[in-house]
Amino acid sequence: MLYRPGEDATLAQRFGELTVALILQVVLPLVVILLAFDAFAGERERGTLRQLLSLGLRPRDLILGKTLGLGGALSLMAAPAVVVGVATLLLTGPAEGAPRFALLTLVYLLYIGIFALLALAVSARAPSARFALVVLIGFWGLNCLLAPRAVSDLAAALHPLPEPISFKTRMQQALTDPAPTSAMLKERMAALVKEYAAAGTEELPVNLAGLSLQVGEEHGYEVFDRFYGELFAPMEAQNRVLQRGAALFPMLGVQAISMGLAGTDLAQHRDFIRAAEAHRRAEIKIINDDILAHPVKAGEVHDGDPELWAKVPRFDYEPPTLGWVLREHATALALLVAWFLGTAWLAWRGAERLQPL
Amino acid sequence: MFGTIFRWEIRALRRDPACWAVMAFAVVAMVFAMFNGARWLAHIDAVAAAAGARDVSARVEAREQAARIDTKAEPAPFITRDPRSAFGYANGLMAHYAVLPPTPLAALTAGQSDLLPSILPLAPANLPSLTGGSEPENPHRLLIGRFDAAFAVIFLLPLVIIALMYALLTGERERGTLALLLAQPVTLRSLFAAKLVPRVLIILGLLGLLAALFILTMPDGAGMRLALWLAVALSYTALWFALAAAVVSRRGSSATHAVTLAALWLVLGMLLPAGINLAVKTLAPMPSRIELILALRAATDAAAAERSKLMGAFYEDHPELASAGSPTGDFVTLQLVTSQRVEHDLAPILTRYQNQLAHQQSLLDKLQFLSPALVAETALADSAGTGLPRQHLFFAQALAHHAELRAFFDPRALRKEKFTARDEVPPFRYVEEPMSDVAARVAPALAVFVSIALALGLWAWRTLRRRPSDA
Repeated sequence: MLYRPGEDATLAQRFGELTVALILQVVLPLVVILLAFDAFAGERERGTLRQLLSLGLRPRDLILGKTLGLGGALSLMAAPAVVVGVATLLLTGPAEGAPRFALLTLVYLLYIGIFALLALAVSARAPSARFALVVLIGFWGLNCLLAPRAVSDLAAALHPLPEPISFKTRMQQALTDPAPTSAMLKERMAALVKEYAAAGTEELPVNLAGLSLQVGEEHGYEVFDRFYGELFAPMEAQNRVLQRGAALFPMLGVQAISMGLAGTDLAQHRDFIRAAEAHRRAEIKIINDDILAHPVKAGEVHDGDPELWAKVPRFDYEPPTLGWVLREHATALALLVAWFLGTAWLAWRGAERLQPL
Repeated sequence: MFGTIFRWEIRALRRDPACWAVMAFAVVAMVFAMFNGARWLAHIDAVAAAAGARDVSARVEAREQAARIDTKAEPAPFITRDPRSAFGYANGLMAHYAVLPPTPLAALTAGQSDLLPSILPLAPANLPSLTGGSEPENPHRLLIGRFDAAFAVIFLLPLVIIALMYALLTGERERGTLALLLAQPVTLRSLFAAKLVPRVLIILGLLGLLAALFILTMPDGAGMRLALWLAVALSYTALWFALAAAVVSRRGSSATHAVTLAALWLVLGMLLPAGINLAVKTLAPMPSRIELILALRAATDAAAAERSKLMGAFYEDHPELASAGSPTGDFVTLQLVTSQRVEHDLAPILTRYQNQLAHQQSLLDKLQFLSPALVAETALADSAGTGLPRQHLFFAQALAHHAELRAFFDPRALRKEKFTARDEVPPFRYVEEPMSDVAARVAPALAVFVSIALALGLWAWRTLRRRPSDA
């Protein structure tokens, strides 16, 4: 039985969850823009920029001051949220949460910093405050709303998933194909005959049903691994395209890294599935080996005992390490840093060439 | 005077690079949306065609395999995959699908069509589930959503309208030209109207372009659905024009108006829908599906434990079948009897999920009117035939057809006769809902949009009484 959350949700689900991520990725950049768009353009319009520059103020001091002031205002606004976040994490979070949270904070600081610096850079060059505002809101709309969907659809066009009906048919045919299983069974039987130095398969002191079951399972593993690989490879390629989209729109990078650090992305879900499947396979092997080791007369059944079930190890999931997550999202992280440095340079240059009028 | 200002406004807009940039952006977005939509429709069509082809090829394969088994060229497989048994064919080999034919408008609104399948594989032994035939899809992409024409209308057109409107009067005032204009024999109202009309024409042109692109690429477009879709899109943009007019007719600078409108767009289009989603899910929480899986296991174990009792009861009801199988029952009868029992035990649990979803939907039906974007999303998907109501109608028909399949296969399986009637399996035919039902569902959205647009427009009109301070 397979269920999708979509079956149990209304159309409103398509608008997503009201999460902290939505506030940080979409709302906060708009707040930053509103705070910063008239930083230079507004002063210029009011004539105070000329005054400031006539005082002999170095432009780089001006931009540093503006950036720090903006940062101060934002941190006042963000302080309650950070306190609540840290408290929640301390009270309910997992042990490994702290470094992940610290990194997540850093990534969001980068992201918000990009918007703040971009706003200053545009404001320094804009002919009017109004112009700066419209340019910045335009970029915000593109970044937050348009870019994810456009790049996602582009990624799907570049890396399409297999057509579902024939995919399923091919998989079913591969699963029910008797040739590979019978070849494997023959090989294993020959190995058993050799191991027990028996004259033939009839003389083996084992229950061959166990062997046959295990061979059927292993054939299934091979088929499922191949077909799931065929399914997940394009999905991962699509996600890589989305990550690289961060070169154009920082939202795509921050979305990917934020999911990665929170442990809610596709790659970490797949890792969990892989671990659970490996556990299941180990358990099946124990059961089949037990059947193999207990020959029964016709009509009899060999049941497992508590000792057998005690052999099955506990399922202890070891989630991927922080290093693994960071390697997975290295591109997006590098692109975000590049964005930050780029916007910082733009703001710096803008301040240096500041026109008082 | 109105005519003169109108003509000059058009000249001014034609000289304005910002206006051209906004229009170019909107045109590129719409062409991209149409291209994407056409690809999506082609994909749905391709999947439906593949399903049809698979149905035929599975039948041929089963017939050939049965012939090989009959001539002893191949050993008979176990009954679950035996083409000569009604049970084995129906549940192991047959590829029988209920197909929801896409409307051409799926190219305009993907709606729920990427989440809920239009192809449901049916086998008598398994009760179909709403998402049973779902295609594999990248969850990240499902989260992000699609760039289709509905997205362009719901999210991008309001942005375009905001960009065209935010400095309608204040721009003139800030340049100092408003005082000069008002020194002419012209009222503030007619000045406002003369500046508004060219902008409305631009948006109408964009929607016209969308309709033209659609009609050109989909020659047999469904007329009534397209008309409804365009009516929703028009009334939704009218609402945004009225909202923008209500904001820009107030005092304040261009920057204030731009900020107010952008904030409204963010709240109405993104935050409120996400908040409504949260409210609906909190007020009517869905039980975990793990509960269902645990209940299924318990019911299966219970049915297995009562196996002989169930078989006894079955043969008491069907004494004519008792001679056909062994007295203790055979595999097929056992399967049917136990699965009937399991379904009986699970029915109340499944009903809980359905009831809770219905509860969520009824909450949403009321709350959605807080956000025009949510109403528009529902109404556009509804008129395109990719919304939930059509999907549920399809599922209800598929369930009815599933009962028909059982009535066809189960007696044949229980009689254990040799099965050859592969071409007599009843086919599924989707019966389309009457367009009057669709119109009735979309009408409240249209009424709400038009009345809010009128109210806001009237308010803006009252605000625009000429005040001495306006210049």
